[in-house]
Amino acid sequence: MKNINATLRTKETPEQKKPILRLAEISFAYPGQPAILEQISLTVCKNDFLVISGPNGSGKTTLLKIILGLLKAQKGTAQIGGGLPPKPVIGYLPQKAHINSGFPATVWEVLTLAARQRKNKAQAWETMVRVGLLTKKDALLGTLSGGQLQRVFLARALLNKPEIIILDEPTNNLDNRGKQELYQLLAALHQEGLTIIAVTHDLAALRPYASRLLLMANKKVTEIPPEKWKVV
Amino acid sequence: MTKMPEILQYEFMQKAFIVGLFVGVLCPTIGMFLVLRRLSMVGDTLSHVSLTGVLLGLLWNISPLPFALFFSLLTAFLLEKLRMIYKNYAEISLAIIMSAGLGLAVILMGIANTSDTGLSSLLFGSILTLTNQDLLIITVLAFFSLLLLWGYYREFFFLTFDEEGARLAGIPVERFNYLLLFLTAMVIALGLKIVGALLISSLLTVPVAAALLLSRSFRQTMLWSVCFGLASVVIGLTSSFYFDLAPGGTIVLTSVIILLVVLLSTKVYDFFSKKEVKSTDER
Repeated sequence: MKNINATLRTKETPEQKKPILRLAEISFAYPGQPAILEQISLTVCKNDFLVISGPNGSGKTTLLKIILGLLKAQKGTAQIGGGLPPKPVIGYLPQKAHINSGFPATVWEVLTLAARQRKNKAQAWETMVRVGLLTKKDALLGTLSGGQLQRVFLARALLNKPEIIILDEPTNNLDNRGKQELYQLLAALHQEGLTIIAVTHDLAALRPYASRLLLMANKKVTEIPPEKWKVV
Repeated sequence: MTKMPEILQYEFMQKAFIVGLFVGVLCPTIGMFLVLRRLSMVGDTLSHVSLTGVLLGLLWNISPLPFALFFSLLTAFLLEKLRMIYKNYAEISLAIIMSAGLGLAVILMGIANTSDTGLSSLLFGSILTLTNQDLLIITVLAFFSLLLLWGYYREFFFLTFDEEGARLAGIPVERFNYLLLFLTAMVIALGLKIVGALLISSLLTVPVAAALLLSRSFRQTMLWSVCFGLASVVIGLTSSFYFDLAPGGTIVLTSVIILLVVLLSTKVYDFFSKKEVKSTDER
């Protein structure tokens, strides 16, 4: 694993790479509440592995939802890709999947449902194998453990060949082994050229894989330079 | 040449079976999406309000079906609007609309001075009141609903499973939420005459409840729901004919009996499966 980290760190700097996401002066407040984000500007480049951390309520998930277009900022702009169509495909692993555990669908049904082309079963199969869910293909979601369920949603995020994947607390519900498997998978995806944006409380565990580190507090985002990572 | 069974020799029964088969397929299919989104009570609300439409039709001496349809669709629209206002208390919108609909229906019942027979056929269904015009409207609307469900199966499945994920996948969530409610309103208006306003909503939920006990996948649950819906309608209409009972009651009771049989069978199966595992472990 150390070799992978070394490879990641010696890659070109963000300035040399092509921007894939630009946030300019983003401000956001939920109705009837004070602002949670104020004048946030951020540029994410192709193949960045951006880890965002911060205390509860600092607006991490809100920021992700603005990037995804699920929330609209009151001020500022969020530009995905170069601003011209086609927009890059984004995969998303939500913090808490909004499904009831007894939902009568199998792993295979969920994955083929998310495949953009109705008959693109080969892609769904490939992703299922990649996240290690082949033996659970016909299992109902309600029979899976928290970790297995998390892998189903990760597989769904990886379908349709995304250029960016956004992960909100990806290690929730995972035991230590599950976490290690996830980190290795993310490192491999990053090496393949994918841009990864992950929000986590588990900063110490994800830090070795990150290429950039951001801290959110007091409505602002601060980028931590690599030489200060150990102090954070 | 084989002789047609007695029950199918009567024109009113042929009409009842045609409508029944449409309702038997459509109700559980739409009901599945409603139950899984925890919106089971939507059917009840829409059917109670559609009663207002039927009564208005009777009051003005016009075919009640288009009125019921109009009122159901209008209610579906209001329901979705209220659901957006009370995002965290979605069931409040059901209570508000059901109260308003029933209040209006009670007033109209008094004004319309409907006969006891007319009223009970509205509330509990009747196989004798289907006209050729009703049959034509119901057939056209049923085919239209089936086509929409077939064409947008993936979208409805995605929406039911994960609304946020569906939005990200580019599915116009609000539009499909309205479409689902409109389809529910439509199927309620279609089934109103044979199942009745008070009982039609059970056909949206009871076959699904039985199917969920057997579910091994979404598709399989859907197929079981439709099978149970069809069985309820066929057995219910047949017993209504032979025992001279209100079809709404016999159809819904059949679906409840199916649910109980499935529930009991799964319990017995689980009991013996556990026993078998235990004896294998002991060996």
